[in-house]
Amino acid sequence: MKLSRRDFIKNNAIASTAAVAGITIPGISVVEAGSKTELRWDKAACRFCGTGCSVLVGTHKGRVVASQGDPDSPVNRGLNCIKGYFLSKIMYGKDRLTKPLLRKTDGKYDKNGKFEEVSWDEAFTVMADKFKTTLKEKGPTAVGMFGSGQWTVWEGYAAAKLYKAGFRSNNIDPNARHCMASAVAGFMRTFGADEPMGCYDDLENADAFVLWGPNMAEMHPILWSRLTDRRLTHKGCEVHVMSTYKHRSFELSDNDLIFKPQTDLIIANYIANYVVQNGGVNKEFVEKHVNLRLGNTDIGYGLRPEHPLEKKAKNNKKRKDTVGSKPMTFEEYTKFLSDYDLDSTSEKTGVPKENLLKLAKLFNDPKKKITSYWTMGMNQHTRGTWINNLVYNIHLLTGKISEPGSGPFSLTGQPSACGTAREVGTFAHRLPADLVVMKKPHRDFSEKVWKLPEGTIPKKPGFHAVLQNRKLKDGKLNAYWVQCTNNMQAAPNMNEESYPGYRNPKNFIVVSDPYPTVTAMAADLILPTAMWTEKEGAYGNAERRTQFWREQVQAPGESKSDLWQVMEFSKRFKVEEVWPADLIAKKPEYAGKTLYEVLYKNGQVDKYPTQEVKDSRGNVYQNHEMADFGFYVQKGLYEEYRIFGLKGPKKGHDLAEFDAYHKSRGLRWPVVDGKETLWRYREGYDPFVKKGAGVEFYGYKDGKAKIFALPYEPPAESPDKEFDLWLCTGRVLEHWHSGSMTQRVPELYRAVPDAKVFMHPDDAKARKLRRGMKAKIESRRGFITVNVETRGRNKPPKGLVFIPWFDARHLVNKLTLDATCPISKETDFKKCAIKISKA
Amino acid sequence: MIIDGKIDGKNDSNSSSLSGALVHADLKKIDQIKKDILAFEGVEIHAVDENGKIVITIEERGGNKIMANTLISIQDIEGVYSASLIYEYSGDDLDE
Ligand code: SF4
Repeated sequence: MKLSRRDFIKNNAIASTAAVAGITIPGISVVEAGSKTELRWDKAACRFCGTGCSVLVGTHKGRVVASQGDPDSPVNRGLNCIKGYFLSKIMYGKDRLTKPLLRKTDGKYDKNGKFEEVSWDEAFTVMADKFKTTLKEKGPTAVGMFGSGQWTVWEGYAAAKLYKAGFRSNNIDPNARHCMASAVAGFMRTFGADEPMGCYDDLENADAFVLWGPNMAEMHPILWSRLTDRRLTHKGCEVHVMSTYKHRSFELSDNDLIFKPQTDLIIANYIANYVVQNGGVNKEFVEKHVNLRLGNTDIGYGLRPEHPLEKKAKNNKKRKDTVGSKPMTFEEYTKFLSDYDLDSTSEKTGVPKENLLKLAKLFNDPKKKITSYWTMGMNQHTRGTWINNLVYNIHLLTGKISEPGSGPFSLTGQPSACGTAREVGTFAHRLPADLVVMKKPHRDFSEKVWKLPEGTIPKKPGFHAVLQNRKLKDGKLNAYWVQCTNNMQAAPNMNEESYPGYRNPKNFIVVSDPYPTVTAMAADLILPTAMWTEKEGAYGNAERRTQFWREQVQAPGESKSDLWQVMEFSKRFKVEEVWPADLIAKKPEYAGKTLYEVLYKNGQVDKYPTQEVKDSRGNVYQNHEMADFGFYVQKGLYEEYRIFGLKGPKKGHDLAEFDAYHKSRGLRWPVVDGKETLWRYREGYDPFVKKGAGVEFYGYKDGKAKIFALPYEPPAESPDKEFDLWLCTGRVLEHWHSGSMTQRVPELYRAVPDAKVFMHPDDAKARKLRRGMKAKIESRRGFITVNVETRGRNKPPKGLVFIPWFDARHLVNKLTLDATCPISKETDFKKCAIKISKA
Repeated sequence: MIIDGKIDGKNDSNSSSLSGALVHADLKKIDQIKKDILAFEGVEIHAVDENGKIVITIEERGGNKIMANTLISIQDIEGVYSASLIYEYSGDDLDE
């Protein structure tokens, strides 16, 4: 049979799709990709969300031209969402940056100058000079970095090492602070160890799914299709959907719960109360595996200390008061919960009693396997750590945890918020593998692995995301580097904090990005950056799965990867310029060396010589970092990082060796003897659980998790007479986060070009607005103008509006308030007060 | 001075795409859903199974760039739970 090229490709499109669906179509089968298509196919993790789909990337003549859901991937089993489909186009936006750009006047750097192309040498010379002057005049606390849950594993690791060990500054924090910090703090507080116990296999094992706010249908579409499959094929399967407004995920819902903002705290306590009152408590489990704690309250809102709310709060001045708690008995806990009865819960949350009862009865049923899912609604919350704790409480009380189909599972927003931001220690208080800077044994261990003199790593946590912008504005943080994130657009309260911070004449701001984002345009120096498959990479997704890919294509112009930039920049510093003499005296052999030599050419990272990168079919791939530095950089960094999991003081973080990941579709840690772990803390699945223990929450020394009694406390800002509506921000299916990549894909741009305000038709009418009209949205901090949508996919109740944040031309973070969870320091992007009028 | 971003989402090329997608639909409404799907230009249905899974292709011709909007619109059809892309090819050489 003779096929035209179109027929040939169509045949393959049908065959691949049918194969994924498990449908056979007579006469159709995949024709081996051979000379006809001339594509080289190789696997890569999707560049976008934390689902961590694997895609097959088709390269032709040095350009990525095709992608396909990876049929061998256990995550997505051949599926891709619409963003994944357009992955092949994200690297080819017309305005891709190809040369470093420095603000100059008359040939010299000038903060108020215009961007001019410069060489890498000039860029790094000016940058190093600013960093050195700052370090000399003000010390390590005046330099900082904002990083990313989109960094590859080794990029985050190399950057954290440069700051914490090289510059001796803990002022490095990732954008994951905006998205996962409350999940982190919640996990650490309840279990003494970060990240979910379960995995995506829960999707095929649960009897019911409870969504604590997330719009999975749009934000985690591939997991949603697995969930849909389960709901439609498993008898009796139920889906309960909670949110502050109606969205696409409600289409599959068996129980709709639309609650008033912040009252998820009440719902969680009500369910716990119901379970305690109605026999749903798994007593044996609670006795054996749980400690009860009464948490401190009145902990403030993470605002600037002079804010009236902070002055008024009691337990917000010292960290130990904010996170403090004391033991309590089960009777005391029962009494604490008794306030959260059905009547008052329904009244305060706005959820009808029957819906609350239906959800409570579900959890009370000992036979049901239940998986809870959440993302930003619970994390971006001024009581984010608390609501995470409260949901764990329910799963711990009922023993529905750490087993196939049952458990609380935080869905991740970014592709490597887990694998990089959390695990390699890019937070201002963290070190690799769950270690923290505050603990001496943790610093000692890290210094030993890194071959550093004792006392190199400072013990005080650095500035977290929101604090960095405040310190920039206050002129306390002066040399600042942003990589792999668009924080001017992402951070809250842009008008009052972020923008004045970046443009403060005292500061020098460097932004590394492939595109001229809002953040890049606010910088003083822009570094053009190689992205995604233009470098060898590794991401870790929400289910603890680490996935690798090879460099597929060359980055345009003079773009360099974040990893190259960090390591190359470190060559500019002599140890004497950054460390005090007494520290160097402890390791005299480091005298006269550069940070590059101390941190990366340390006999450990540079252990693996250059080699050919080859796949099993014999295709050979480039590796620019290996070529430039003269050793297998990615492997060396990874193998050094792996020591933290294998030998570090916190157990259960073991990773497989480097080469294993290039051969597999990812592995879920802890990986012991080549075997991944599906359900942590459960004997039979997790090799770290003591024999006979059944369940062991080994993050804490006594092997027990903690239930925290925590009440409802109001949000930082609520609607009043003047600012009479709630504003909730969020995402849309078609764009990924700030849109810096997806807005440059013509098809996605055309599909959803502008942010709109989704509002109830009555709210629109009351303001003399109709669908499609321009509206002025105003908060106490600024205003934006967007079009009104009253019929779209999001249907808010009266009193609340939703605006997505992907749109660089309508920056919703001019409106938001920089109030955070005082424990996790994550901003509440879901609640502030606004008013709307005709524009 | 406050900046607003510029975006360059209009950088179209002449390339066309051909893709295969899997639609997951409510069986009770499947006949209407099939009709709605076929109403889109360039869309063909190749198989429907007993669980409500539908195999479709979306073909662009002459750079008409209908693919993204089509897939998004299919997702908006009542009774459609999800529509996922499985395979895509994009190039200017489809009809060579
Ligand atoms: S964006 Fe997320 S769901 Fe979509 S293909 Fe990528 S990883 Fe999968």
